[in-house]
Amino acid sequence: MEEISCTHCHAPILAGYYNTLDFIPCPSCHVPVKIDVFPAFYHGLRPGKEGETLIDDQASCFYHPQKKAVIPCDHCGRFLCALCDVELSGKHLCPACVEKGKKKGRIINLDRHRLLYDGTALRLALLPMITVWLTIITAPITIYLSIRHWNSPMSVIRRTKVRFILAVVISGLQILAWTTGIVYFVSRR
Amino acid sequence: MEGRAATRYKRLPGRGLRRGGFITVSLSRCSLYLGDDHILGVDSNGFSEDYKRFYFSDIQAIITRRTRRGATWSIVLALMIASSSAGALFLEVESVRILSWILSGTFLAFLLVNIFRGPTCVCHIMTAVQEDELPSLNRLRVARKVIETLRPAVERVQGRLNPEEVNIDPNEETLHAPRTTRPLRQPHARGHGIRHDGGTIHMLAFALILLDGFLTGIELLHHSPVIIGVSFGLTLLYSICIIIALVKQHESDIPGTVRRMTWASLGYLCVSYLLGYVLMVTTLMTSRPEKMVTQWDLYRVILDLSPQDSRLVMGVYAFAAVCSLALGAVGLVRVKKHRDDWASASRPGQDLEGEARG
Repeated sequence: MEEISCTHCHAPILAGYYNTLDFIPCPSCHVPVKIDVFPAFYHGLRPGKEGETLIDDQASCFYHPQKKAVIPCDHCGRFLCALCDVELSGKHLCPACVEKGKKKGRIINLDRHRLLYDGTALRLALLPMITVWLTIITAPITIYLSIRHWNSPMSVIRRTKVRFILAVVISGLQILAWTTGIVYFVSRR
Repeated sequence: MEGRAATRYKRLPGRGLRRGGFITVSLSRCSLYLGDDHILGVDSNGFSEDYKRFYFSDIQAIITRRTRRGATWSIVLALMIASSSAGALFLEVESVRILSWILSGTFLAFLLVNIFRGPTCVCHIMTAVQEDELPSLNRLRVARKVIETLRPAVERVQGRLNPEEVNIDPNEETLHAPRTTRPLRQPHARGHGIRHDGGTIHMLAFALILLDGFLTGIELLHHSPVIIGVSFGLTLLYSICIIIALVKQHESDIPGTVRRMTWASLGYLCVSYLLGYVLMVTTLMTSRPEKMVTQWDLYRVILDLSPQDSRLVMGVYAFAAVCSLALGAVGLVRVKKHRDDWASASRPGQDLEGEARG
């Protein structure tokens, strides 16, 4: 069992201070703290699973032929031993499928970083309006960005394409304004 | 394999900025989402998002610590309201008065929002391998609400705590143990350590502030350009000392009072620089520009500025003297107490060593 330390002074806080109804002062720095402890704290790290050795004519693991297969991969169907079985959001996958899924961005739960093309496009449409003249460059870029990444993976959190639509509309208006202005000046000459 | 839209998340209340180090201006907005089997922490800067997942089966503890940030903001905003209201009441230029009223109203709105949002806190989530801050849970009300939402989800996976697990070890310190002697901040850490700092640079800074306060007090009674010159030099010196002290007190065992006094000194320094600037501008505007040909002429006008010249100068000097004396004296006393506490805490060990040798 690990110990919990005060997040202010880093002094260890003893078990008597856990799961109290209200805040209590830290024994060291007296800053009010409240520690909500869950059973995992007392159980520690779960031990890793080991594959069982193959006996007679049992099905073997695709990656470890000497180990007994316990489950098939939910994606590719290969037989897996307990060691190779990777459980992700209730699905059992083999290490190769996990790696492939991570590379292709198919397993959302392994994604740690996403670029927000819709947010970028909207900012690119709005921010240069402060200078006005910059929009002549940014408006076409915004439209290109919106079309190019219309189907690219967006945030892990579900969000609509409203930012893309707004960016395209605003940039379209900017281009229209520039075109009208240029035509007007040319025709006046 | 899992589809792109497989996980559905429910937004949890709260939103905050992630602070990185000593002084960091962060543009990462943090929020929390509740998934089927985990909490998703999202750090977004508008252009990209970073994700952290805390699986219910891995969450060991959630540590909530109350902070005084909300109260400090309330005080700062109240001071802003007071100063802008004073400006609105006493200034004669109509446009400036209107601007002051607008400012007062804005600050009042911020103050009300701050009060309405309730007390502030810092929340950390602990797993077997990490302890991470949850910046979105920066208000107590929100933190409580989120923890109450999470508790059933975590308990559904981990089960409930056994009675023997919540029992207190009789050998360990209990809640009601006497705490008459305040222990020092322990140099113990989970990942990052706390080092001992005697507070020498703090002491120097507070001593210089105190000395500057005395000199400003003398200046109030008897004007002398030499004293002003020395005071300028002292201000420069203690500005450097304060900055060094702020850097040194980070991750050190310097007590909270001394830390706050150092931050207050920095605040006072900023205010005094601002007041000095206002004073300089008003002096330059009122004095004859044809007299100031060189830079030296400008300095001479400032050095010749006496508290007896106007009420504004007198007020600024009195404010500076009172603040410097108060900050310097209280700061010095607190640093001295910290040094004494450390000396008395380390003495018993030395005594025992001496006895053992004997």
